[in-house]
Amino acid sequence: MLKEKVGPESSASQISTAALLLQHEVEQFYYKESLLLDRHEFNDWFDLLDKDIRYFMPLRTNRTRRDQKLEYSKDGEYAHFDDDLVMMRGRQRKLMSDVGWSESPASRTRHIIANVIINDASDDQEVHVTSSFILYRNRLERQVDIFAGERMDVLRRSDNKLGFMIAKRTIHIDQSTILSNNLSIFF
Amino acid sequence: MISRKVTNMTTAKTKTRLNIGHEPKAFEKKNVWNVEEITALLDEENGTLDPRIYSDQDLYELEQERVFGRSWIMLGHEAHVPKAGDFLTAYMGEDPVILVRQKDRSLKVFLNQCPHRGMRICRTDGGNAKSFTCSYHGWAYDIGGNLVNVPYESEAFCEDFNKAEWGPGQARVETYKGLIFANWDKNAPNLREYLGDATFYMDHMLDRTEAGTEVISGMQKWVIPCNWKFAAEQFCSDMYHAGTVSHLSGIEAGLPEGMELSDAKIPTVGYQFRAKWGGHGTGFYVGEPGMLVAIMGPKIAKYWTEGEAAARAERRLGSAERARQLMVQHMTVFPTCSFLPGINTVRTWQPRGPNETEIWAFTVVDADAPDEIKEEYRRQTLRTFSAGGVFEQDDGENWVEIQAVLRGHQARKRRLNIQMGKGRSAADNPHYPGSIGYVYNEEAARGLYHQWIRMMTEPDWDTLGPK
Amino acid sequence: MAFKKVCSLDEVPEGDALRVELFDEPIALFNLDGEILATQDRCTHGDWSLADGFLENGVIECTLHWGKFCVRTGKVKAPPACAALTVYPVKVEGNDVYVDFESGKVND
Repeated sequence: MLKEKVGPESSASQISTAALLLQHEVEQFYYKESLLLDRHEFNDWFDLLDKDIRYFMPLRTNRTRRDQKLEYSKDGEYAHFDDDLVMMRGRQRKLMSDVGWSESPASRTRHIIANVIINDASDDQEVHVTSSFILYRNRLERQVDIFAGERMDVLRRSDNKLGFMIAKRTIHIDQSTILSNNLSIFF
Repeated sequence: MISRKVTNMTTAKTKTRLNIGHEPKAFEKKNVWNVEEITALLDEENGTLDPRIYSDQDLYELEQERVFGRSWIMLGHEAHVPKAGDFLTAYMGEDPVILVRQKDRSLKVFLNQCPHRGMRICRTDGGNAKSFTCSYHGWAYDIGGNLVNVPYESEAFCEDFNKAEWGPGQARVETYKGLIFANWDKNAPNLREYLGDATFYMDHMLDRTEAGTEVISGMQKWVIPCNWKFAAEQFCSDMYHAGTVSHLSGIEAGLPEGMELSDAKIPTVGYQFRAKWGGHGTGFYVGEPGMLVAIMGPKIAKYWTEGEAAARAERRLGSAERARQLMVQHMTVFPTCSFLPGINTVRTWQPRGPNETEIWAFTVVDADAPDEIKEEYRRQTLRTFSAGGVFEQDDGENWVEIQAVLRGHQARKRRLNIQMGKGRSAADNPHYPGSIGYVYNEEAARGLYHQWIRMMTEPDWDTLGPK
Repeated sequence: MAFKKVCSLDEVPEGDALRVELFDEPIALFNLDGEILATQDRCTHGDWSLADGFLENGVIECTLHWGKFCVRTGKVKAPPACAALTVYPVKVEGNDVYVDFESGKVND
């Protein structure tokens, strides 16, 4: 239900220079975005969230093949995250406060973004992108968490330094039981 | 070197039990901790607790039989399984179970283990089933857990094979205002008796309207590397961490526009309850809804304290204070059912060894609440009390670090302080049943450990049960 | 040939099945894109109602052990089932569904 179709159909000969450039731009955006998180430049990262952001991570359940359509929780059901900008700004205040114990001392993270596929760029202001992530977290003396999954983003053209704002982010995490004591980091 | 006497209070004959109906007149598991040693873990008089209660593998093994094998364990809400065949897989301690709605609307809970070769019968989280078939050899069970088909039964099995004897063990199932509990022990008191005076406080969340509650669909699960008792105790007895420093940043995260941190005044008035029997506990502030606004936002705070829904709750509960002025109530029904009336997160702490707990959490709402309020409950509970919740994140941080420290010998040797409110609670409050004291208190925690010790040392419900 | 009315057409929605207990053996009616077909309801493998099973592309899958049968011919489409189903002639007149139980047969 949440899955967007994978990739526009195109053969090598049809790829335009514009498409190549866009692919490059989007990938560079992701690399720089990741660096903001991994270098703890959180205020700059939160500034990338557009005013109508939906930051959404549904639950993922174990189902038979026949019930596969029920694997992800839907709108109106419980989720790991389902935040708008007001809620995300609250998370920012927590993160930047002196008493946000779950991230003070801060986690060390590394966001690896790959498999970047532009699904729809027909609107010249918005790009629909699917990508895969590996998020490594190391925290305090010896806590290690590894999260993997897929992100489905709507990026919106912007004149900020990175060229885009994040208008929608849906995260499909590859765990049903979250194998970590909390999700105090961002995906 | 610690020597532990082996007592032989455990001499129960192990006859084959085809239908589980646990009858521990004596405990089955060999006792490496004797009664005196277990009893000494809590010193109520001096207010100290032996930290090994959180870290010892042998105690953990005993707990599985004596606490989780005999207590009412919360598995979910009736609204999780509305139709015949709807099921959830859940746990009672470390034992996996299947909870299924029957055609006659009743509920069955049976061990999720095929008695043939021990395979897990159902490997999904839930759904709707006509039957459950073991994917190892095809032994098939109806939705009541009765063995109905054994492939090649007549060709391959023996004369004395009787399908009726080989269904998985059945647990007792009872509900309290929507919440479903199960118990393996047929001698345990019924659920109402077991809950005792705790129901008065459970009703603050479960009985605000004649329509009762329903659930926001979905069960969130995550793992915290700590003993389950840290979580159960905190929800039972610890407003102190919320009113002091643990959740300061959570409050900051939730401030609505125009509200300053200084406006979110942390109240100083409130009560804590310790159940007369059973280890249940709760606590709450009494007063203005500032904290509720900071946690759940103005919409929920308004719904809870003003308007038609609050008026109805006041009529049902028979008290304006109980319906509108009890703030950020925390509660544990012994041993592992915890919830926060007003915030409406409900969870079971699933033990996974002495050093690990899985949290299974869901949200309840008044069944007749406006859709807008239900949606707001969904968004706010997952923002505040969930794996990514701005409050719950910090709970995970505390418990994990305590558990890590308890690897140390010195750390385990030094008894912990559990003195707060000692000798200051009394069962004489005209408005609130049970033993009542100040909101910042560890009386309910002492009650929880007292009950735990009794369950760990008293095999017979004749002495253990509520009078 | 004795056709007997067993149900009305709207009791068997498209893609669905209905168990009928009017004869010596229960039968299962299946609606395949508007066409009604009838087989024995009891799975030949595990004594379980096929009307409770999953109907897909003209094949019914038993929920008990995942054996599959063609609902048109009754033939086994997937193990562990190994014996074919009895299939029965069906006719539909208006909104009424008729089955000729005596003329049921097993296709080899």
